[in-house]
Amino acid sequence: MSAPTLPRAAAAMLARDLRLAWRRRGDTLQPLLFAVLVVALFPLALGSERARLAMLAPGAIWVAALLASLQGLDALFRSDAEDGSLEQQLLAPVPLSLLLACRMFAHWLTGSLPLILVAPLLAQLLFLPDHLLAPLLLSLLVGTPLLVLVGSTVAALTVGLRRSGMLLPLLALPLYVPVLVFGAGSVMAAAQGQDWLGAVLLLAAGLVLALVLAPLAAAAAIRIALP
Amino acid sequence: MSYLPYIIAAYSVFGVVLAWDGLTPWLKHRRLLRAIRRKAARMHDAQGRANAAGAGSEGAAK
Amino acid sequence: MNPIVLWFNKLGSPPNFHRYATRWMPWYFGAALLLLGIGVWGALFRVPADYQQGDSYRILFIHVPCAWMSLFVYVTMAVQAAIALVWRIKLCEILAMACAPIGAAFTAITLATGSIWGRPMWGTWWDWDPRLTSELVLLFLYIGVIALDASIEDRRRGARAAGFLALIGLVNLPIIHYSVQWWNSLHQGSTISLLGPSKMDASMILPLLATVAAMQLWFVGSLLSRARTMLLEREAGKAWARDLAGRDMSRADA
Repeated sequence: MSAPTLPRAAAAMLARDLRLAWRRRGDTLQPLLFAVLVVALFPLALGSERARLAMLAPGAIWVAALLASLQGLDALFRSDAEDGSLEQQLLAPVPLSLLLACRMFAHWLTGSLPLILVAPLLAQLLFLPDHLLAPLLLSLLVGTPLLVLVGSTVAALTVGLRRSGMLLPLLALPLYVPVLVFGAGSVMAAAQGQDWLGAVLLLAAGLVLALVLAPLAAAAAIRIALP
Repeated sequence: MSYLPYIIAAYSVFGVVLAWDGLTPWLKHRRLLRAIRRKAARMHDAQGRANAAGAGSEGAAK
Repeated sequence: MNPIVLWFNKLGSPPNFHRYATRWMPWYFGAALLLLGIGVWGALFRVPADYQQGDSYRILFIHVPCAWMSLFVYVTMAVQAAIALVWRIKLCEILAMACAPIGAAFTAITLATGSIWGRPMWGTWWDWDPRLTSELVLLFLYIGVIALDASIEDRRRGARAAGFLALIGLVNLPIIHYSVQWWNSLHQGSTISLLGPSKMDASMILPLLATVAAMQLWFVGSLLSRARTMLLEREAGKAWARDLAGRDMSRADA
Protein backbone atom coordinates (compact mmCIF):
# COMPACT_ATOMS: atom_id res chain seq x y z
CA MET A 1 0.00 0.00 0.00
CA SER A 2 1.42 3.35 -1.00
CA ALA A 3 1.76 6.21 1.45
CA PRO A 4 -1.47 8.17 1.84
CA THR A 5 -1.74 11.46 0.03
CA LEU A 6 -2.38 14.52 2.12
CA PRO A 7 -5.97 15.13 1.02
CA ARG A 8 -6.86 11.48 1.50
CA ALA A 9 -5.34 11.42 4.98
CA ALA A 10 -7.14 14.63 5.88
CA ALA A 11 -10.46 13.30 4.63
CA ALA A 12 -9.95 10.04 6.51
CA MET A 13 -9.18 11.86 9.76
CA LEU A 14 -12.16 14.13 9.33
CA ALA A 15 -14.47 11.24 8.57
CA ARG A 16 -13.19 9.35 11.59
CA ASP A 17 -13.74 12.25 13.98
CA LEU A 18 -17.20 12.96 12.60
CA ARG A 19 -18.14 9.33 12.88
CA LEU A 20 -16.89 9.21 16.48
CA ALA A 21 -18.82 12.36 17.28
CA TRP A 22 -21.95 10.87 15.78
CA ARG A 23 -21.57 7.71 17.80
CA ARG A 24 -21.32 9.76 20.95
CA ARG A 25 -23.86 12.28 19.86
CA GLY A 26 -25.13 12.75 23.37
CA ASP A 27 -21.71 13.87 24.52
CA THR A 28 -21.21 15.95 21.42
CA LEU A 29 -24.43 17.85 22.00
CA GLN A 30 -23.69 18.64 25.62
CA PRO A 31 -21.83 21.91 25.00
CA LEU A 32 -24.76 23.13 22.93
CA LEU A 33 -27.21 22.35 25.70
CA PHE A 34 -24.85 24.01 28.12
CA ALA A 35 -24.87 27.19 26.02
CA VAL A 36 -28.65 27.28 25.92
CA LEU A 37 -28.72 26.81 29.69
CA VAL A 38 -26.26 29.63 30.23
CA VAL A 39 -28.37 31.94 28.08
CA ALA A 40 -31.42 30.99 30.13
CA LEU A 41 -29.54 31.89 33.30
CA PHE A 42 -29.28 35.54 32.37
CA PRO A 43 -33.00 36.40 32.55
CA LEU A 44 -33.25 34.27 35.67
CA ALA A 45 -30.50 36.26 37.29
CA LEU A 46 -31.31 39.70 35.95
CA GLY A 47 -35.06 39.74 35.51
CA SER A 48 -37.11 39.46 32.35
CA GLU A 49 -37.36 43.16 31.58
CA ARG A 50 -37.18 43.33 27.82
CA ALA A 51 -35.01 46.39 27.36
CA ARG A 52 -32.35 45.25 29.81
CA LEU A 53 -32.10 41.78 28.30
CA ALA A 54 -31.92 43.21 24.81
CA MET A 55 -28.98 45.33 25.87
CA LEU A 56 -27.17 42.34 27.33
CA ALA A 57 -28.10 39.87 24.62
CA PRO A 58 -25.01 40.04 22.38
CA GLY A 59 -22.60 39.76 25.31
CA ALA A 60 -24.60 37.01 26.98
CA ILE A 61 -24.80 34.89 23.83
CA TRP A 62 -21.10 35.37 23.20
CA VAL A 63 -20.23 34.38 26.77
CA ALA A 64 -22.42 31.31 26.41
CA ALA A 65 -20.69 30.38 23.15
CA LEU A 66 -17.30 30.88 24.78
CA LEU A 67 -18.09 28.78 27.85
CA ALA A 68 -19.57 26.06 25.66
CA SER A 69 -16.39 26.08 23.62
CA LEU A 70 -14.37 25.48 26.79
CA GLN A 71 -16.57 22.52 27.67
CA GLY A 72 -15.65 20.47 24.68
CA LEU A 73 -11.92 21.20 24.88
CA ASP A 74 -11.02 18.79 27.62
CA ALA A 75 -12.42 15.83 25.73
CA LEU A 76 -10.75 16.86 22.48
CA PHE A 77 -7.61 14.83 22.87
CA ARG A 78 -8.41 12.82 25.93
CA SER A 79 -9.83 9.65 24.38
CA ASP A 80 -7.12 9.49 21.76
CA ALA A 81 -4.44 10.06 24.34
CA GLU A 82 -5.85 7.35 26.56
CA ASP A 83 -6.11 4.59 24.01
CA GLY A 84 -2.82 5.32 22.30
CA SER A 85 -4.10 6.50 18.95
CA LEU A 86 -2.48 9.87 19.57
CA GLU A 87 0.93 8.23 19.58
CA GLN A 88 0.01 6.49 16.36
CA GLN A 89 -0.86 9.81 14.84
CA LEU A 90 2.48 11.16 15.98
CA LEU A 91 4.24 8.43 14.05
CA ALA A 92 2.11 8.69 10.93
CA PRO A 93 3.80 9.60 7.64
CA VAL A 94 1.40 12.52 7.36
CA PRO A 95 2.26 15.75 9.21
CA LEU A 96 0.71 15.79 12.67
CA SER A 97 -0.37 19.39 12.17
CA LEU A 98 -2.59 18.35 9.27
CA LEU A 99 -4.29 15.66 11.36
CA LEU A 100 -4.78 18.12 14.17
CA ALA A 101 -6.22 20.69 11.78
CA CYS A 102 -8.78 18.14 10.70
CA ARG A 103 -9.60 17.33 14.30
CA MET A 104 -10.08 21.03 15.04
CA PHE A 105 -12.33 21.41 12.02
CA ALA A 106 -14.40 18.41 13.07
CA HIS A 107 -14.64 19.86 16.57
CA TRP A 108 -15.91 23.14 15.17
CA LEU A 109 -18.41 21.37 12.92
CA THR A 110 -19.87 19.35 15.76
CA GLY A 111 -19.57 21.89 18.54
CA SER A 112 -19.79 25.44 17.28
CA LEU A 113 -21.75 25.16 14.06
CA PRO A 114 -24.87 23.84 15.84
CA LEU A 115 -24.56 26.76 18.21
CA ILE A 116 -24.51 29.23 15.33
CA LEU A 117 -27.59 27.52 13.87
CA VAL A 118 -29.34 27.81 17.23
CA ALA A 119 -28.20 31.40 17.78
CA PRO A 120 -31.34 32.97 16.28
CA LEU A 121 -33.37 31.10 18.88
CA LEU A 122 -31.07 32.32 21.64
CA ALA A 123 -31.42 35.83 20.24
CA GLN A 124 -35.18 35.53 20.55
CA LEU A 125 -34.86 34.33 24.16
CA LEU A 126 -33.00 37.51 25.03
CA PHE A 127 -35.01 39.88 22.85
CA LEU A 128 -32.10 40.77 20.61
CA PRO A 129 -33.18 43.45 18.12
CA ASP A 130 -33.61 42.02 14.64
CA HIS A 131 -31.08 44.22 12.94
CA LEU A 132 -28.37 42.90 15.25
CA LEU A 133 -28.88 39.28 14.30
CA ALA A 134 -26.72 39.50 11.18
CA PRO A 135 -23.73 41.02 13.02
CA LEU A 136 -24.15 38.43 15.77
CA LEU A 137 -24.18 35.50 13.39
CA LEU A 138 -21.28 36.85 11.37
CA SER A 139 -19.18 37.50 14.46
CA LEU A 140 -19.92 34.00 15.76
CA LEU A 141 -19.12 32.49 12.38
CA VAL A 142 -15.70 34.12 12.33
CA GLY A 143 -15.05 34.01 16.06
CA THR A 144 -15.95 30.45 17.03
CA PRO A 145 -13.33 28.88 14.72
CA LEU A 146 -10.78 31.15 16.39
CA LEU A 147 -11.89 29.91 19.79
CA VAL A 148 -11.56 26.32 18.63
CA LEU A 149 -8.10 26.90 17.14
CA VAL A 150 -6.68 28.72 20.16
CA GLY A 151 -8.38 26.44 22.65
CA SER A 152 -7.17 23.28 20.94
CA THR A 153 -3.59 24.50 21.06
CA VAL A 154 -3.87 24.98 24.80
CA ALA A 155 -5.64 21.65 25.18
CA ALA A 156 -2.76 20.01 23.36
CA LEU A 157 -0.43 21.27 26.08
CA THR A 158 -2.43 19.57 28.80
CA VAL A 159 -2.73 16.24 27.03
CA GLY A 160 -1.56 13.49 29.30
CA LEU A 161 -2.61 15.25 32.49
CA ARG A 162 -4.86 12.99 34.43
CA ARG A 163 -7.50 15.31 35.83
CA SER A 164 -7.01 18.82 34.57
CA GLY A 165 -10.26 20.06 36.09
CA MET A 166 -10.44 23.82 35.78
CA LEU A 167 -6.85 24.10 34.58
CA LEU A 168 -7.74 24.13 30.89
CA PRO A 169 -10.29 26.97 31.17
CA LEU A 170 -7.83 28.91 33.32
CA LEU A 171 -5.18 28.60 30.63
CA ALA A 172 -7.46 29.29 27.70
CA LEU A 173 -9.57 32.19 28.95
CA PRO A 174 -6.88 34.91 28.87
CA LEU A 175 -6.21 33.95 25.27
CA TYR A 176 -9.93 34.07 24.54
CA VAL A 177 -10.26 37.66 25.74
CA PRO A 178 -9.45 39.37 22.40
CA VAL A 179 -11.88 37.12 20.53
CA LEU A 180 -14.63 37.90 23.01
CA VAL A 181 -13.87 41.61 22.95
CA PHE A 182 -13.96 41.89 19.18
CA GLY A 183 -16.76 39.37 18.71
CA ALA A 184 -19.23 40.71 21.24
CA GLY A 185 -17.89 44.21 20.71
CA SER A 186 -18.75 44.18 17.02
CA VAL A 187 -22.38 43.52 17.85
CA MET A 188 -22.34 46.19 20.54
CA ALA A 189 -20.84 48.61 18.04
CA ALA A 190 -23.64 47.76 15.61
CA ALA A 191 -26.12 48.40 18.41
CA GLN A 192 -24.64 51.86 18.90
CA GLY A 193 -24.80 52.55 15.21
CA GLN A 194 -21.02 52.53 14.79
CA ASP A 195 -18.89 50.67 12.33
CA TRP A 196 -18.98 47.02 13.30
CA LEU A 197 -17.51 45.39 10.23
CA GLY A 198 -14.02 46.52 11.18
CA ALA A 199 -14.00 44.38 14.30
CA VAL A 200 -15.24 41.37 12.36
CA LEU A 201 -12.52 41.89 9.78
CA LEU A 202 -9.96 41.97 12.58
CA LEU A 203 -11.33 38.67 13.79
CA ALA A 204 -11.12 37.33 10.25
CA ALA A 205 -7.49 38.39 10.00
CA GLY A 206 -6.80 36.64 13.29
CA LEU A 207 -8.61 33.58 12.00
CA VAL A 208 -6.45 33.38 8.89
CA LEU A 209 -3.34 33.64 11.04
CA ALA A 210 -4.59 31.04 13.48
CA LEU A 211 -5.56 28.65 10.67
CA VAL A 212 -1.92 28.51 9.70
CA LEU A 213 -0.25 28.72 13.10
CA ALA A 214 -2.53 26.85 15.48
CA PRO A 215 -2.19 23.34 13.98
CA LEU A 216 1.58 23.76 13.91
CA ALA A 217 1.66 25.03 17.46
CA ALA A 218 -0.67 22.29 18.63
CA ALA A 219 1.55 19.65 17.01
CA ALA A 220 4.57 21.10 18.80
CA ALA A 221 2.59 21.21 22.03
CA ILE A 222 1.62 17.56 21.78
CA ARG A 223 5.24 16.60 21.25
CA ILE A 224 6.19 18.57 24.34
CA ALA A 225 3.36 17.29 26.48
CA LEU A 226 3.45 13.59 25.65
CA PRO A 227 6.02 11.60 27.61
CA MET B 1 -8.51 65.31 51.15
CA SER B 2 -5.88 63.40 52.96
CA TYR B 3 -4.13 60.91 50.76
CA LEU B 4 -2.05 59.51 53.59
CA PRO B 5 -4.01 56.26 54.15
CA TYR B 6 -3.83 55.53 50.42
CA ILE B 7 -0.11 56.16 50.26
CA ILE B 8 0.45 54.02 53.33
CA ALA B 9 -1.72 51.25 51.88
CA ALA B 10 0.03 51.27 48.51
CA TYR B 11 3.54 51.27 49.91
CA SER B 12 2.62 48.59 52.42
CA VAL B 13 1.29 46.28 49.72
CA PHE B 14 4.48 46.93 47.80
CA GLY B 15 6.65 46.08 50.80
CA VAL B 16 4.71 42.99 51.82
CA VAL B 17 4.71 41.45 48.35
CA LEU B 18 8.42 42.13 47.84
CA ALA B 19 9.16 40.65 51.26
CA TRP B 20 7.18 37.54 50.30
CA ASP B 21 9.07 37.32 47.02
CA GLY B 22 12.41 37.66 48.76
CA LEU B 23 11.80 35.39 51.73
CA THR B 24 9.93 32.38 50.31
CA PRO B 25 12.75 31.02 48.11
CA TRP B 26 15.34 31.62 50.82
CA LEU B 27 13.32 29.82 53.47
CA LYS B 28 12.60 26.98 51.07
CA HIS B 29 16.30 26.69 50.34
CA ARG B 30 17.08 26.30 54.03
CA ARG B 31 14.37 23.67 54.42
CA LEU B 32 15.79 21.78 51.45
CA LEU B 33 19.28 21.77 52.90
CA ARG B 34 17.95 20.42 56.18
CA ALA B 35 15.99 17.71 54.38
CA ILE B 36 19.02 16.68 52.33
CA ARG B 37 21.14 16.55 55.47
CA ARG B 38 18.63 14.37 57.29
CA LYS B 39 18.26 12.01 54.38
CA ALA B 40 22.02 11.72 54.00
CA ALA B 41 22.33 10.99 57.71
CA ARG B 42 19.64 8.29 57.46
CA MET B 43 21.37 6.64 54.54
CA HIS B 44 24.69 6.86 56.34
CA ASP B 45 23.20 5.13 59.39
CA ALA B 46 21.57 2.46 57.28
CA GLN B 47 24.86 1.90 55.50
CA GLY B 48 26.69 1.68 58.81
CA ARG B 49 24.21 -0.86 60.19
CA ALA B 50 24.42 -2.92 57.02
CA ASN B 51 28.21 -2.94 57.24
CA ALA B 52 28.09 -3.91 60.91
CA ALA B 53 25.58 -6.68 60.21
CA GLY B 54 27.75 -7.96 57.34
CA ALA B 55 30.89 -7.92 59.52
CA GLY B 56 29.01 -9.61 62.36
CA SER B 57 27.68 -12.45 60.19
CA GLU B 58 31.12 -12.95 58.67
CA GLY B 59 32.57 -13.20 62.14
CA ALA B 60 29.91 -15.75 63.17
CA ALA B 61 30.47 -17.81 60.04
CA LYS B 62 34.24 -18.06 60.66
CA MET C 1 19.58 43.04 32.04
CA ASN C 2 19.44 40.60 29.17
CA PRO C 3 23.23 40.37 28.72
CA ILE C 4 23.43 39.23 32.33
CA VAL C 5 20.70 36.67 31.82
CA LEU C 6 22.37 35.38 28.69
CA TRP C 7 25.60 35.04 30.57
CA PHE C 8 23.88 32.60 32.92
CA ASN C 9 23.55 30.28 29.98
CA LYS C 10 27.29 29.90 29.91
CA LEU C 11 27.35 28.69 33.49
CA GLY C 12 27.55 25.00 32.96
CA SER C 13 27.08 22.65 35.83
CA PRO C 14 24.49 22.89 38.60
CA PRO C 15 26.98 23.23 41.46
CA ASN C 16 28.66 26.10 39.61
CA PHE C 17 25.41 27.92 39.10
CA HIS C 18 24.40 27.35 42.71
CA ARG C 19 27.71 28.70 43.95
CA TYR C 20 27.49 31.68 41.61
CA ALA C 21 23.90 32.47 42.61
CA THR C 22 24.61 32.18 46.33
CA ARG C 23 27.61 34.48 45.99
CA TRP C 24 25.92 37.24 44.02
CA MET C 25 22.39 37.16 45.42
CA PRO C 26 23.06 39.34 48.48
CA TRP C 27 24.75 41.99 46.36
CA TYR C 28 21.82 42.32 44.02
CA PHE C 29 19.33 42.46 46.86
CA GLY C 30 21.51 44.93 48.74
CA ALA C 31 21.90 47.23 45.77
CA ALA C 32 18.18 46.99 45.08
CA LEU C 33 17.27 47.91 48.66
CA LEU C 34 19.72 50.80 48.64
CA LEU C 35 18.33 52.29 45.44
CA LEU C 36 14.82 51.58 46.65
CA GLY C 37 15.48 53.48 49.82
CA ILE C 38 16.79 56.46 47.88
CA GLY C 39 13.87 56.36 45.47
CA VAL C 40 11.16 55.99 48.09
CA TRP C 41 12.69 58.71 50.26
CA GLY C 42 12.73 61.00 47.25
CA ALA C 43 9.19 60.03 46.30
CA LEU C 44 7.74 60.59 49.72
CA PHE C 45 9.68 63.52 51.06
CA ARG C 46 11.51 65.41 48.35
CA VAL C 47 9.16 65.57 45.40
CA PRO C 48 6.54 68.35 45.48
CA ALA C 49 2.85 67.53 45.45
CA ASP C 50 1.23 67.34 42.05
CA TYR C 51 -0.92 70.22 40.80
CA GLN C 52 -3.87 68.00 39.87
CA GLN C 53 -3.58 64.88 41.97
CA GLY C 54 -2.15 66.16 45.22
CA ASP C 55 -0.08 63.69 47.15
CA SER C 56 -1.64 60.50 45.86
CA TYR C 57 0.51 60.50 42.75
CA ARG C 58 3.46 59.52 44.96
CA ILE C 59 2.15 56.03 44.41
CA LEU C 60 3.38 56.42 40.83
CA PHE C 61 6.94 55.83 41.98
CA ILE C 62 6.14 52.24 42.91
CA HIS C 63 3.27 51.63 40.51
CA VAL C 64 5.13 52.47 37.30
CA PRO C 65 8.32 50.46 37.95
CA CYS C 66 6.25 47.42 38.88
CA ALA C 67 4.09 47.82 35.78
CA TRP C 68 7.15 47.94 33.54
CA MET C 69 8.71 45.00 35.36
CA SER C 70 5.55 42.93 35.01
CA LEU C 71 5.92 43.19 31.25
CA PHE C 72 9.70 42.95 31.19
CA VAL C 73 9.73 39.80 33.30
CA TYR C 74 7.15 38.17 31.03
CA VAL C 75 9.27 38.84 27.96
CA THR C 76 12.36 37.54 29.77
CA MET C 77 10.43 34.44 30.79
CA ALA C 78 9.34 33.85 27.20
CA VAL C 79 12.86 34.33 25.86
CA GLN C 80 14.25 31.87 28.41
CA ALA C 81 11.47 29.44 27.50
CA ALA C 82 12.27 29.75 23.81
CA ILE C 83 15.95 29.02 24.46
CA ALA C 84 15.00 26.09 26.66
CA LEU C 85 12.67 24.65 24.02
CA VAL C 86 15.01 25.06 21.09
CA TRP C 87 18.29 24.06 22.73
CA ARG C 88 16.95 21.98 25.62
CA ILE C 89 19.12 23.74 28.18
CA LYS C 90 18.04 22.65 31.64
CA LEU C 91 19.17 25.85 33.32
CA CYS C 92 17.01 27.95 31.01
CA GLU C 93 14.01 25.82 31.87
CA ILE C 94 14.60 26.60 35.52
CA LEU C 95 15.21 30.30 34.87
CA ALA C 96 12.01 30.56 32.85
CA MET C 97 9.92 28.96 35.58
CA ALA C 98 11.62 31.09 38.23
CA CYS C 99 10.54 34.23 36.38
CA ALA C 100 6.86 33.39 36.65
CA PRO C 101 6.20 34.01 40.37
CA ILE C 102 8.34 37.14 40.32
CA GLY C 103 6.40 38.52 37.37
CA ALA C 104 3.12 37.60 39.02
CA ALA C 105 4.24 39.47 42.15
CA PHE C 106 5.04 42.60 40.13
CA THR C 107 1.71 42.33 38.35
CA ALA C 108 -0.15 41.95 41.64
CA ILE C 109 1.59 45.03 43.03
CA THR C 110 0.71 46.95 39.87
CA LEU C 111 -2.94 46.00 40.18
CA ALA C 112 -3.15 46.72 43.90
CA THR C 113 -1.31 50.06 43.76
CA GLY C 114 -3.23 51.04 40.63
CA SER C 115 -6.49 50.30 42.37
CA ILE C 116 -5.46 52.16 45.54
CA TRP C 117 -4.27 55.11 43.48
CA GLY C 118 -7.47 55.12 41.50
CA ARG C 119 -9.78 55.08 44.50
CA PRO C 120 -9.51 58.81 45.28
CA MET C 121 -9.67 59.53 41.53
CA TRP C 122 -12.54 57.29 40.48
CA GLY C 123 -14.41 56.89 43.74
CA THR C 124 -14.36 53.12 43.32
CA TRP C 125 -11.67 50.52 43.84
CA TRP C 126 -11.84 49.44 40.22
CA ASP C 127 -12.76 51.19 37.01
CA TRP C 128 -11.91 48.82 34.16
CA ASP C 129 -9.22 51.21 33.12
CA PRO C 130 -7.73 49.70 29.92
CA ARG C 131 -4.22 49.43 31.30
CA LEU C 132 -5.30 47.82 34.55
CA THR C 133 -7.58 45.46 32.64
CA SER C 134 -4.62 44.41 30.51
CA GLU C 135 -2.61 43.88 33.68
CA LEU C 136 -5.37 41.69 35.04
CA VAL C 137 -5.25 39.47 31.98
CA LEU C 138 -1.46 39.42 32.31
CA LEU C 139 -1.82 38.19 35.90
CA PHE C 140 -3.94 35.32 34.67
CA LEU C 141 -1.37 34.50 32.02
CA TYR C 142 1.27 34.25 34.75
CA ILE C 143 -1.00 32.15 36.95
CA GLY C 144 -1.63 29.86 34.00
CA VAL C 145 2.09 29.30 33.46
CA ILE C 146 2.62 28.60 37.16
CA ALA C 147 -0.39 26.28 37.33
CA LEU C 148 0.58 24.28 34.25
CA ASP C 149 4.14 23.82 35.47
CA ALA C 150 2.85 22.71 38.86
CA SER C 151 0.42 20.18 37.43
CA ILE C 152 2.96 18.15 35.45
CA GLU C 153 4.97 15.72 37.52
CA ASP C 154 8.02 15.49 35.33
CA ARG C 155 9.80 18.76 36.15
CA ARG C 156 11.50 19.11 32.78
CA ARG C 157 8.35 18.40 30.80
CA GLY C 158 6.38 20.74 33.03
CA ALA C 159 8.84 23.56 32.46
CA ARG C 160 8.80 23.00 28.72
CA ALA C 161 4.99 22.87 28.50
CA ALA C 162 4.58 25.94 30.68
CA GLY C 163 7.32 27.67 28.70
CA PHE C 164 5.45 26.95 25.49
CA LEU C 165 2.33 28.41 27.06
CA ALA C 166 4.32 31.50 27.98
CA LEU C 167 5.37 31.86 24.35
CA ILE C 168 1.78 31.58 23.17
CA GLY C 169 0.90 34.22 25.74
CA LEU C 170 3.69 36.46 24.51
CA VAL C 171 2.33 36.42 20.98
CA ASN C 172 -1.09 37.24 22.37
CA LEU C 173 0.02 40.07 24.66
CA PRO C 174 -0.03 42.86 22.06
CA ILE C 175 -3.30 41.49 20.70
CA ILE C 176 -4.84 41.47 24.17
CA HIS C 177 -3.56 44.96 24.86
CA TYR C 178 -4.93 46.33 21.61
CA SER C 179 -8.27 44.59 22.06
CA VAL C 180 -8.70 46.01 25.57
CA GLN C 181 -7.91 49.50 24.27
CA TRP C 182 -10.49 49.10 21.51
CA TRP C 183 -13.00 47.72 24.00
CA ASN C 184 -12.47 50.65 26.28
CA SER C 185 -12.93 53.21 23.52
CA LEU C 186 -16.09 51.43 22.44
CA HIS C 187 -17.74 51.39 25.82
CA GLN C 188 -16.51 54.47 27.56
CA GLY C 189 -15.45 57.02 25.02
CA SER C 190 -12.48 58.94 26.33
CA THR C 191 -10.84 57.80 29.50
CA ILE C 192 -9.00 59.59 32.19
CA SER C 193 -5.59 58.06 32.02
CA LEU C 194 -4.19 56.96 35.32
CA LEU C 195 -0.87 58.52 34.48
CA GLY C 196 -2.14 62.07 34.62
CA PRO C 197 0.92 64.31 34.63
CA SER C 198 2.11 64.67 31.06
CA LYS C 199 5.08 66.73 32.10
CA MET C 200 7.43 65.21 34.57
CA ASP C 201 9.11 67.77 36.75
CA ALA C 202 12.89 67.26 36.71
CA SER C 203 12.91 66.45 40.40
CA MET C 204 10.44 63.62 39.79
CA ILE C 205 12.62 61.78 37.30
CA LEU C 206 15.41 60.86 39.69
CA PRO C 207 13.36 58.99 42.29
CA LEU C 208 11.55 57.21 39.47
CA LEU C 209 14.81 56.14 37.88
CA ALA C 210 16.02 54.97 41.26
CA THR C 211 12.96 52.80 41.87
CA VAL C 212 13.03 51.42 38.33
CA ALA C 213 16.68 50.47 38.70
CA ALA C 214 15.93 49.03 42.14
CA MET C 215 13.22 46.78 40.71
CA GLN C 216 15.50 45.57 37.93
CA LEU C 217 18.17 44.65 40.46
CA TRP C 218 15.58 43.03 42.72
CA PHE C 219 14.40 40.93 39.79
CA VAL C 220 17.90 39.61 39.14
CA GLY C 221 18.46 38.89 42.82
CA SER C 222 15.14 37.13 43.21
CA LEU C 223 15.70 35.20 39.99
CA LEU C 224 19.03 33.92 41.28
CA SER C 225 17.48 33.01 44.60
CA ARG C 226 14.55 31.12 43.12
CA ALA C 227 16.62 29.46 40.43
CA ARG C 228 19.23 28.12 42.87
CA THR C 229 16.44 26.80 45.11
CA MET C 230 14.68 25.08 42.21
CA LEU C 231 18.00 23.67 41.05
CA LEU C 232 18.77 22.28 44.49
CA GLU C 233 15.32 20.74 44.66
CA ARG C 234 15.79 18.89 41.38
CA GLU C 235 19.31 17.76 42.19
CA ALA C 236 18.62 16.86 45.83
CA GLY C 237 19.81 13.30 45.37
CA LYS C 238 23.12 14.18 43.81
CA ALA C 239 26.47 14.10 45.56
CA TRP C 240 27.17 17.80 45.21
CA ALA C 241 23.92 18.59 46.98
CA ARG C 242 24.83 16.33 49.89
CA ASP C 243 28.27 17.92 50.06
CA LEU C 244 26.70 21.34 50.13
CA ALA C 245 24.29 20.35 52.89
CA GLY C 246 27.11 18.77 54.87
CA ARG C 247 29.37 21.77 54.47
CA ASP C 248 26.57 23.97 55.64
CA MET C 249 26.37 22.23 58.96
CA SER C 250 29.54 23.94 60.03
CA ARG C 251 28.26 27.33 59.00
CA ALA C 252 25.52 29.32 60.66
CA ASP C 253 23.72 30.58 57.58
CA ALA C 254 22.41 28.69 54.58
